[in-house]
Order: sequence, then C-alpha cells, then structure tokens
Amino acid sequence: MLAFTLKRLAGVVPTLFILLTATFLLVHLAPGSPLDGDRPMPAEIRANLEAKYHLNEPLIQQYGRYLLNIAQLDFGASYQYKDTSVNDLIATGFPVSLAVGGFSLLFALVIGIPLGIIAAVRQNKIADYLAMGGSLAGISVPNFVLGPLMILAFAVYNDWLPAGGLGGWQNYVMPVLALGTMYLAYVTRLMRASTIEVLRSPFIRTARAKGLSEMRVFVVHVLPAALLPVVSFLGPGAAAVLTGSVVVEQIFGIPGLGRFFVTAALNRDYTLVLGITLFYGIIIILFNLVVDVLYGWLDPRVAYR
Amino acid sequence: MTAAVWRKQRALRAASGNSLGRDAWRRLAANKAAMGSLAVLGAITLAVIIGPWLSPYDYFSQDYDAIWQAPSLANGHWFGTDQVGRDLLARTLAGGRISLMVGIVTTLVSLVIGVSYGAVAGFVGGKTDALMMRAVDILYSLPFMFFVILLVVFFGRNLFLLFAAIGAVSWLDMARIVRGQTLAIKSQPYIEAARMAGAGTTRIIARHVVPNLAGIVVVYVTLTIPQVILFESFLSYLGLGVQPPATSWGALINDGTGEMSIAPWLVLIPSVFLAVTLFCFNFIGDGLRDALDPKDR
Repeated sequence: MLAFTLKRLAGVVPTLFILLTATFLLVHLAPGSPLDGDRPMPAEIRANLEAKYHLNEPLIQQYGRYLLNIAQLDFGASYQYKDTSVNDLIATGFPVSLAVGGFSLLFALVIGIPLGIIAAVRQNKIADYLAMGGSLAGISVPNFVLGPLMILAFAVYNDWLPAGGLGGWQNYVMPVLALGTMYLAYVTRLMRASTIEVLRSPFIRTARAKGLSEMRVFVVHVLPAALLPVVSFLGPGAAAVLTGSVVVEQIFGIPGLGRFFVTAALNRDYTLVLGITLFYGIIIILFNLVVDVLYGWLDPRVAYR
Repeated sequence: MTAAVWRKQRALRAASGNSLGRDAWRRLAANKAAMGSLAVLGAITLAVIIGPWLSPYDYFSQDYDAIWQAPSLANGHWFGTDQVGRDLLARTLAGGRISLMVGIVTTLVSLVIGVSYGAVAGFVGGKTDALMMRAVDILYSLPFMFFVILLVVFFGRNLFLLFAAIGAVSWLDMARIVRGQTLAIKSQPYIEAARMAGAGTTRIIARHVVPNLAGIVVVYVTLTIPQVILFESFLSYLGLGVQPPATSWGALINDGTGEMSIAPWLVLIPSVFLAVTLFCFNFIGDGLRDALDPKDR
C-alpha cells in the first residue's frame, strides 16, 4: 500500500512538470510582449522595464526563475490590479469558489448515488426510464442555460430567491443547483451502470447462494464494488466543477476565483490568468492524486497490479 | 487492390448481409427515442443550412423601428427581435450554423488524432503503448478549460484557434477507447492471416484494424459532438469564443441573459435550440451504444 502511494506520488512529478513547462512556453511563444502598449515606449524605459521583469535574460534563466517562484507558491503581481498580488486574489476568491463547488459536488453525490441504485434495481421499469430520461436531460442542459432560466423563474417572475450576490444560504441555492445538476446526471448514470454490472457478477450469486439476506448482499457486497466508478469520477468531476463554477459565478455575480478568471481573461490580465490556471492545475493534479490513492485503498486489485 | 474492386466487394458484402451492421441498425431503428432524436436533429440541421437563404432578414442588420418585438407570426419576426432590432430567427439559425460547424469540424479533428493515436498505441503495444498512454493520462489530468482560455488570451480570439484548441483537447477519450478496442482486435485470426500474407504494420492498421473500429468510433463521435458544441458555447457565453458580428448559440444566450427581464425570449429560444440539439445527440449516442453492445444480444 505504501509502495503504491509512493508510486502515485512520483507519478505526479511529470504531470506538474508538463503543466509548468507548457504554460511557460505558451506564454513566451505568444505574439507581442506584455510591455506593448497603445503608445510606443522610449527604448531606455523599455530596457529598464525589461530588466525589472527579467525579460532581458535568456529564456532558460527566466524558466528557472519561474519554477523557483512557483515552488515558493508566489504567482507574482496582478497586471491589472497594480497593488494586489495574484496570491491575494486567490486567497479572497478561492474559498468562495470552493464553497459553491463543494456543495454542488455533495448535492450530486447525495442524490445521484441513491437515484442510480434505484434505477439499476428497477431496470427497464418506469422508475428507471424516469431516472435515465431525467439524467440525459440534465447532461444536455448546460449550466449557463439552467442558471438564467432559474433566475427568470425564481427571482424575476417569483420573488423566492435572490438573483445574485453573496449573503445567506439562499444565495447558494440557485448556483449549486445550476452547477450540480449536470454532475448529478453523470453520477446517476455511472451508479446505475456499475450497479447493474456488479449485480450480474458471479460473486454476488455466491453471496446469495450462501444464504445472505438481500439487504446484506447489497450493503456489504454490491455497494462497495458499485461505488468504485463514482470514486474515480471524483477526479475529473472536481475539475469540471471548478471549470463550471467559472460560468456560474459569472451568472450569479458571485465574487469567486472563477469570476476573477473571466474578468482577467477579457481584460488580458496576463499574470492573473496564468496564476489562476497554474493554481487550478496544481489543485486538480493533487486532488486526482488523493482520489487515486483512495481508489487503490478501496480496491486492492488496483494496488497490487 | 484498386479502390473500384474494393468498393465492389464492399457492396457485395453489404448485399449478402453484413450481419453485425445490419443487426445494429435494426436495433437502433427499433429505438423510438433515438429515431425521434435523429428526425429532430435532421430538421434542425436542415433549417440551419437552408434557413438563412429563405429568411427575409439577415443576422446582423439592425432595425431601430422594430426593437424588442415579442415573437409573433403577424409582424414577420417569428422569434422576435433583440435590443437593436435584429431578427432572432435569423440569428438563431446563423448561430446554429457556427455551433454545429464547430461541433462537427472539431470532432473530425479529434477523430483523426484519437483514432490514429489509439490504434497505433494498441497495435504496437509494449513500451510504446505504455509511454503513449502515460502521455494521455498526464494530459487528462490537466485543467483543459483553463488551458484553452489561457490560449485564447495569449493568442487572440479567432475561430480557427477555437477549432484547433478544442480539437486538440477532445481526442483523449477517443484515443483510450480505440486503444482498448484495438487490443481486442489484435488477437483476432484475420490479423494473423493478414500478417502471414505479408502485410506490414501500417497496412494492417489502416486496412484491417481501423475499419473494424468503426462501430465504437461512431458511438463516440456522436457523444463527442455535443461535448464540443457545449465547450464552444461555454467559451462564447463567457465572451471568449465567437466574436461579433458572428454569433453562436452560446453567444446568443450570453446576449439574451442581459436582457432577460425585459425580453425573456432572447435567452429562451437559443437555450431551447442548444439543449434540444445536445439532448438529441446524447440520445442517438446512447441508442447506438446499446445497439452495438454485444452483451445485450
């Protein structure tokens, strides 16, 4: 088990390396320089600025400096908000995004897992068709469609929920529903498919043949095996939730990191876009690592392969 | 073998009953949801292609005498108009052209990359396979949406970049699935026979492996198209995708969201088109997967 964990930990290194190198190269291959403005700049001033930002150094030296800064978790200063560092913006925005994303994922799991089980147990019956049709609809309605529609229904035509901003728990209801519905649909489908497959496997027949109660067969044998695909979905799922929260924060005017990201992208705030991409990249890679190790823990077949 | 002979043989085979394909087709035809989706999708595609030629309005002309018209048959604006009097029907159709085109072209890009990558990895096997799949795993764990946005920010916004960027990130699933299938095909007797007959690796992959991947590839193409359309709409919704005057369903939804409380149809109509299209693709993909799944036979 320890060997497996260490191996996975070592596997993260090339991924991180590629993330850092790809972003560095991308930024440096892009046409134009961050110093290009509306007006041409006197050569001396330009040289001074280049020296200040180390743009006059050879590329490899800049790359070293870049790796060093990130190793110290220093993402530099925002290009747009001159006196704020990217770190400050991440510290303000990320907890908000984390809350919205975390609740959405929780919502998807808490409802999706039982729903998938019901659909699997009642396969090809009315409950199954309803759950499957509903989840297909959930996958097909993107959050930027669901969000505005909900605002229209619950905030404009009826005054039930606040349309945006951040205050009490009511502010979280619509964003979490808008963001979580698609993952709810995915989790339901995954859970249904894996439960059906597990129910058909020989070890379940064995368990039944031993004379175990149906309840015990389900809780002890079916459930743990059927949950595995959902666990492995958590990695890409979390990445998708962080991505989706970019849109949802935009729709509902939530001051999270995703909103900063879009504003930065539209204003070409290079350092902020780069910083948030790196930050989210690192978070997702680490989260995938945790999920991987958890998976190996739950399913020993993976670890001993 | 010349192309003509090959075509003739294929026609013969089809006539004598390519049982797998025909069987799958029959099962798909029995799936009412999938056939209904196919019909709806066909109608939308047709409307998007020929609609703009038939419409008396174009998608960019402003008409300040007819702003914020609600949808009605009487005034000629069936889907209404927006805040500068542009006809929403014309805009929805024009946006649909872009959305569907991005979906199809980009899926083709990912299809070519994914199939050749997966087939080579699976067929060659060994260290090459391990290395190639490790690369896919690494790419898989990167936050792609952020990468594409980074790309758009640093290289400027244009449609071609959008195709390339989305295509470059959406081939991973295809590569994995094709590789798995290739592994299964590799051990089939007809591959051995081809090798005995003196065919080289390239020829075997192109002539014997890839054609036999068709079934699974068709399923994943149908499921990739809606993902790509969604991806493009997402970027356009954020204002980072298609740039005005061009438009897409995502961009229209974005425009409409701002006017939502005054003119709800501006967000409702493009939303319905986008959701129905995605729904149909997903239904067809699911239906195809069931039809081709040998487990249920």
